[in-house]
Amino acid sequence: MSRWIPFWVFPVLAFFAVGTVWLRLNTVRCTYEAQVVQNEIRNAQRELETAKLQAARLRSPQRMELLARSRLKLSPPRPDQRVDMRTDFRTAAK
Amino acid sequence: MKGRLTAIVLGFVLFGALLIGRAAQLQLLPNPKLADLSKRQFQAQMTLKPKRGTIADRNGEVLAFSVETKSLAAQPQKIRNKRAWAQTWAKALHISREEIYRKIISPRSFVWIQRHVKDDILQGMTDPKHAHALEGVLLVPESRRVYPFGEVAGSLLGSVSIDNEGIEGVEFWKNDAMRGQSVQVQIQRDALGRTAWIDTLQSKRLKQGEEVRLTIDLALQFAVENELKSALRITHAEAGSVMIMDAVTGEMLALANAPGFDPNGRRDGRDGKFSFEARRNRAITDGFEPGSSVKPLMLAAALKKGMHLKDRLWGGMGQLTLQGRTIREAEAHEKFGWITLKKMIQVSSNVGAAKLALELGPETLRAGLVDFGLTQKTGIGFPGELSGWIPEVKELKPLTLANVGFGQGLFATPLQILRSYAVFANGGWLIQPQLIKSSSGDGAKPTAQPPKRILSERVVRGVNEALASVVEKDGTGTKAEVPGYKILGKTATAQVFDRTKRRYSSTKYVASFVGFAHVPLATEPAQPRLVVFVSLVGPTPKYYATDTAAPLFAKVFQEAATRYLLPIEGAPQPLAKAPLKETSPSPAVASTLHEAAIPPSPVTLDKSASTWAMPSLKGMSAREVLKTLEGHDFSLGFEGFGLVKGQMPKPGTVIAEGERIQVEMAVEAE
Repeated sequence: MSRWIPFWVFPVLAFFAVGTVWLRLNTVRCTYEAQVVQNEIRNAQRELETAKLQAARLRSPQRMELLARSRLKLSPPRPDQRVDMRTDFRTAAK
Repeated sequence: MKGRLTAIVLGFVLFGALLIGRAAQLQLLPNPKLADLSKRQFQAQMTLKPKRGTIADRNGEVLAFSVETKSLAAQPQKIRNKRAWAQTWAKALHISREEIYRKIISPRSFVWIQRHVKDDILQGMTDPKHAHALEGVLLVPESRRVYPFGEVAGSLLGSVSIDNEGIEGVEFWKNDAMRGQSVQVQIQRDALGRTAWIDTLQSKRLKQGEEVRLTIDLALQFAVENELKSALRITHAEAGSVMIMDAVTGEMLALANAPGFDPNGRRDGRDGKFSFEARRNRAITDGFEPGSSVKPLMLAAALKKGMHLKDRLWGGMGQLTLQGRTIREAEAHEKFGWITLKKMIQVSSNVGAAKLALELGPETLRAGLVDFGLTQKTGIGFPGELSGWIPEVKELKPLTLANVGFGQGLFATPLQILRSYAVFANGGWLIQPQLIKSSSGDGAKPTAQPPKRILSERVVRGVNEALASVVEKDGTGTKAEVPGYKILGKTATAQVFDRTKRRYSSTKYVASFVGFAHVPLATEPAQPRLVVFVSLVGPTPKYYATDTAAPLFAKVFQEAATRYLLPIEGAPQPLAKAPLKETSPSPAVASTLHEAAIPPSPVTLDKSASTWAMPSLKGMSAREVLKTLEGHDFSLGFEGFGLVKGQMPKPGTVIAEGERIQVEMAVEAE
């Protein structure tokens, strides 16, 4: 037998066979883990989207104006009440 | 014994060898039938769908984005008690049992029950008592388009189909760029059907949808839409449009149409808020006979030809007969004798304009109008844009020529008129309007044509002098005046052609005003030069632009001036506060428009403790309520959203400062 195939071939073959199986199992395990993480990301994204929608609604001009006028008793400024900060900064810088 | 043992061992060895041989045959030798079986069982293709790109305003405020949702589908062959199944889901989804039953008795292996089902409905179905209704159920993750600001810019944004494909507006226009590119990837499943392997190299080819940033300013758009809606209610107009454009860059800052529509509404139109009329972006896709707003364009052609503002025309004492038809004055109601070109614009004389058109001749007049781009699309790119039409030179017989002179008998879009006036605002350059500011990719990048000079500064100065006179004393546009600004503009009250009667309507008009504020040519820092166009279709009983469109312009311009800090001409002038308390007959807003809407009601005025007659707030938006009660010290309470449905105290009740007013709002006013 040893005249045909050297003895060391068998452990090498066994090593590669086990390695291949181990690699395959790890690939599958990683894919499962990736799926779990992906689901977590998807859920987080859904929550983020819901929060974004809620934030947009809270920031909406309709709501802002309603709050400004009713709760804060604000009204649009008359032209003489407006201050252009850009102009003021420029004047101050001179 | 030894021989028997050897035979058994040999038997096992042979059996083992057979097994190994068979395994080797299955694993190593190609077998198409087995390969196919394995492929079907373990391999599959999965479509990775990209996320549709968002639409944002010029400041990055998101106007449309996609959220993940679930759609309900069924595998009919897996449902045992189909009647009970249909009954349960019909109750949960509020749709007819028969409709669901019809779907699940079909021989198909997959049927949609309802797309984009709300989470709380699905949550409710997890109750064990509904276990029978979960047989054969498939929940398919999908994407749903959301427009957080509802009606704001609805006709501009457009909408998407149930499959997230743009069908109107910007959604349709930039659909290819915003939808991205999906990819098919190979996956392998395990025995339980779970994904055990994904081809990540393929999945990297997934192209997400591009984000499109518009030139629109959300806050200004909202303010403009509110002013337009108020004007529609007050003037009883059936529709209207407002546009604000930067005359130098061509960027559209606001583009509003009313009645508008909410893209979040039902696609099947069951809620009545998705009609074709409401969805159209009229400012771009609808043509109209512009009326007197064409007169300054003709004046530019005259000045180009060498005429002067002081040149005089015979006004025919208010009428001119051509080819058996008589042209009369409209807005001015005056009978003019000799009239200068400037005066012709100031009082919007039809006879004067007709005379000038005849003086210029068909070639010069048509070429002058064509220079302003009235026969071609503006290049904004929005789907459905019209190109406008002016009769050919050979068709411009005296009567037609005279009509074109005062804006009848030709066809233009509101956007084309706005763009024409931008030429006067920017010193003589024809620019391309822009709606897209930027894009995250190459697919939706704006493509701007360089501006083209079509008028000299001398001509622009002349036309602007005439336009300024329109808003001055004796002009037709005095109500467009905005305190603190020198407004230049033009009123137009155009007749509408009645297709059924095949003649001009004697009752329906389009009132419009287009104008801008005077900005010195060299300013430091560069100030935005905003051009504003407003139009109202079918205002009644007052239909002249002088009384309808001009006040709307003033309000819209004021909103823009506040947001863009347009500097006040000369020294800041302290403005009189809104007349309230002692001078106001009722808690009504001081504006002309609102005075028309809310007639003064009787009031008991006691200077020591001011009391007022409570006005009717019914049908108003919250904004209008606040405006109406502006300047008073009432304690206001709102309940709900939408329009005013009820109020306390009732209209006519005497109310004192500091008292509480409770307003009940509902989506639809009763």
